[in-house]
Amino acid sequence: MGPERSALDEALEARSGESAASADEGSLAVLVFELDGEAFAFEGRYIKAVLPMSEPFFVPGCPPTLEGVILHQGEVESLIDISPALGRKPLAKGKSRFVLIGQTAGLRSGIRVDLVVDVLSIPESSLIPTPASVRQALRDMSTRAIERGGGLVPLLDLPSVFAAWARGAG
Amino acid sequence: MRPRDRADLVDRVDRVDRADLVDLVTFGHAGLRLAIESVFVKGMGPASASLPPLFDKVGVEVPGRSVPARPFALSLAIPLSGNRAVSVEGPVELQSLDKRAIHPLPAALALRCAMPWLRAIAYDAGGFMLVLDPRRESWTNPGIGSTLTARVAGDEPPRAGGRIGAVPNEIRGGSNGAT
Repeated sequence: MGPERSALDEALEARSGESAASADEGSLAVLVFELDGEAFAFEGRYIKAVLPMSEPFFVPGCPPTLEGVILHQGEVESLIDISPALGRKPLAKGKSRFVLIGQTAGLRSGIRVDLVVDVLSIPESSLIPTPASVRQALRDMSTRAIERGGGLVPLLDLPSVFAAWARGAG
Repeated sequence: MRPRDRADLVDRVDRVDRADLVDLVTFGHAGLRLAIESVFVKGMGPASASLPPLFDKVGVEVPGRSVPARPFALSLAIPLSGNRAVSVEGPVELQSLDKRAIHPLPAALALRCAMPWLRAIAYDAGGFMLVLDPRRESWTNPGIGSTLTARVAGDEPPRAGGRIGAVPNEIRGGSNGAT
């Protein structure tokens, strides 16, 4: 007969303690990405997938920021450029390497980004208010920022970004 | 199994399979693949020069759009608007597409795409295809994107008399599976 508690049990218990710690209420998963050299972040709970960039299928009658549709796991997803909604110029074609599948209660869409820089789990207490010096269009969608690499990265509220895009902002 | 039983079984299986299919008349324009449910297509024939291209009626800008390179006239039976004809670019084909290959418009397109007839997007072995629904805009007021969103839920398609009828001999038949 084997022991009541094995080394495997202990190892798994130790790991379960780890995951409990990482799922601590006070921590926040964030995904950091770049648009034309500037870093931004989304809360991880809004990002359902990160895909390599693929050429979208053009749909006539759409605004320039709605670039077409792509297929992901058998579903048709729209592909948008959120840069104008953030008060920035549209992303250059051919430079973006990733698509984020973002989902909120109101909208789900692929979001074209140039780079995915990092996926972090940070204490919520480490978030700082977005500085007043940030341009207005961005402050409407980001009330908090994260410190990274000696600079501040605006943590964007994806529902607000989608709402601005849907209004045709930018 | 007796021959009659086998025939009944085959017939039942065929009916089940047909229930999973949507018949579409497919065609092209400016490099796009387009489709209209066959129930709205009465027939097809050679296009005259005076016939309006479909996209003039749909009323959106398509890069590189011009008079269709290989024009065919599609005769459409549109509820409340009657029979109308447009020119489209060939090849024009009849395809039976699995319902699972036809997707509702993503929310972003439903919100901001100004293509009045756009109803769904299909994906098959040939890639993406825009599924148009001529009921989505009054024929007498085409091309005003901001006036779209004529909701068609509950609209009835034309009766059997308006069905594709003359088309099968003229449209090349084809079938394509789901992805």
